[in-house]
Amino acid sequence: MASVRKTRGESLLLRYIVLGSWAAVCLLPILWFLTVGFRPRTEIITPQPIYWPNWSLDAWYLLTSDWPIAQYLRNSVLAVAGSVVIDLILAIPAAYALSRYEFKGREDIGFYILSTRMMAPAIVAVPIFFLFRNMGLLDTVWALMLIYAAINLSLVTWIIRSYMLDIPKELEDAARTDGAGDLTILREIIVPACLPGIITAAVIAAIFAINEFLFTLLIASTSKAYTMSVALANFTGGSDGVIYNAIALVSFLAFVPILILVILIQKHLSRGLTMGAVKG
Amino acid sequence: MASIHLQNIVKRYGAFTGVQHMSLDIQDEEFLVLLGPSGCGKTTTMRMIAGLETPTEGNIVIGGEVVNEIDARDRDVAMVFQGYALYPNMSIYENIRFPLRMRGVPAAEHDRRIRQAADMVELGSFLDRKPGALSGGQRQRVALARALVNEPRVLLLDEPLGALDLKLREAMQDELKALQQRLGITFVFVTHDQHEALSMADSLAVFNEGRIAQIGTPEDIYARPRTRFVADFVGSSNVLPPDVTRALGGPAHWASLRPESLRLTFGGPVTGTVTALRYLGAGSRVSVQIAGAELAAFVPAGQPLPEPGASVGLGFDMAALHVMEGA
Repeated sequence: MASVRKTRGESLLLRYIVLGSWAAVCLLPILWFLTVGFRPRTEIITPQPIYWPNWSLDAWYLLTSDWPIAQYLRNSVLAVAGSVVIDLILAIPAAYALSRYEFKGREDIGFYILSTRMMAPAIVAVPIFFLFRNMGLLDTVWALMLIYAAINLSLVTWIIRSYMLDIPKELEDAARTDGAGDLTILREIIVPACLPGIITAAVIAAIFAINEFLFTLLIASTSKAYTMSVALANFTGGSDGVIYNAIALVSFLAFVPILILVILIQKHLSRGLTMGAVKG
Repeated sequence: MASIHLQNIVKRYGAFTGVQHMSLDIQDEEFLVLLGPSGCGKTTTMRMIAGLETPTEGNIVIGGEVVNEIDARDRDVAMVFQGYALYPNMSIYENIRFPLRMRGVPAAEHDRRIRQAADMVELGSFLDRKPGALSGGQRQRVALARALVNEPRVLLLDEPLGALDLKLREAMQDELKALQQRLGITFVFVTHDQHEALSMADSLAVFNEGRIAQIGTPEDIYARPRTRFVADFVGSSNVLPPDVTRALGGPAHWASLRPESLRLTFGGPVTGTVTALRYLGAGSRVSVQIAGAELAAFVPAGQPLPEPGASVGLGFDMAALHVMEGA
């Protein structure tokens, strides 16, 4: 009995060592980046190795006193959250139709939707600028929501569709003979059954959206609509040169909302990312 | 409570014809079994009754009303699926409640009816679990309770016992049969298992290649198969070509002879050579080479068995030799 427990304990220890090392590999760059954010600028760019860094809040003061960083963060979060909501509202019914209804050109439409993703964004940059100018939406968070939603919609639709294809048709047949209509089936049967896929798609869309730079730069011209990704660019040039500690801190702050989101839905997410693979 | 009539039903999928000019009358409160190999159109027929498929031609009449254009949700026909099709995100209670909610049954009645349905299939203590936490047999019962909770006119069962092990399957067969007699609902039951079909059916329809090969009582179909296919598919019959039938003293026509109707004798009217023995538990199956054909005889346990290669005689009552109408 004792020996059994011992080997079990050892394998558990081994497991923690392996997983712990891997966690360290993943986390170290982020933590290193965070330390960069809290060190004096001169120390970061010196060619000499520094073993015991000096800490400083220079970057933090720079951000909070000279820049409306809270406003940027708020814009980012609002635009990303709004875009994900729009994506889900549009993508779930679209994915359902593409995965279930028989209609002419179904596969072509599915591929067409995905193909919008293959285009270089710069191609549509100018038309989009004029489009939003004519709508009077330039320099607003609303415009960012719409842009982010449009960029990610195809991918979100495609991911959700692939999860829906995995749901047995029998479930819907059962719901239909039980007396449910299409919308009820979608709401009560399909969406709960592919929730992990929907969540996975939402997280991927959120990551893409918060990283978006080109269109944000195009739409936003003041702090009214500046986001974290554009804020970063403020510190990469100009008369002050590259301000590395500020860049590090802004990057870390931009990373926090996604981190919180992922921690909140971790359980569903890991199921979502592996489910398709296991079912093959 | 309703009779079902299929009138000259055709179902085509592109160039493939799944069901060919089928007519079928199912009486009220009847237990009809549709039996056939995979791909013979039995499940398609059932799905057309449910409203999950639309016939290409012909009419489906349920309770005196043509239902071709009526959606599955409005047909008052319940169905139990092969894979159970329980809603994985809902508890057992919610699963059984789903049809009640969908059909607008007053909420005050839900609890009483759910418990009644759950008790009927002895599920009372599992109501707050999720389907994933139940065994195959329990899931089967949930599917049944969910189908019955609305007291449908017709219950369709698509190979509902296929995934269960033998013992459980036999127990469920008895329960289903008893349930049907108690509730007086018309049952249509699809299976490819001939034992299940014979033991459960009031009336049995044997399907082959999108047509009904024969319909009748189980006794009728077992004893008097109309075609070679039916004789072969229902039970393990010896199907005799015309010349062998003649050699055994019958007319020159295709005939069937059940293994249990054959007796091994010593120097009977016809003799042959034993080619193989197979032990089946309740007896043994002895293959005998006779007149260029191989016949199987069933020898009950306890009776002496010949050695392979031995010469034996075969005896049977002429009445057991069933001459078939079709080929």
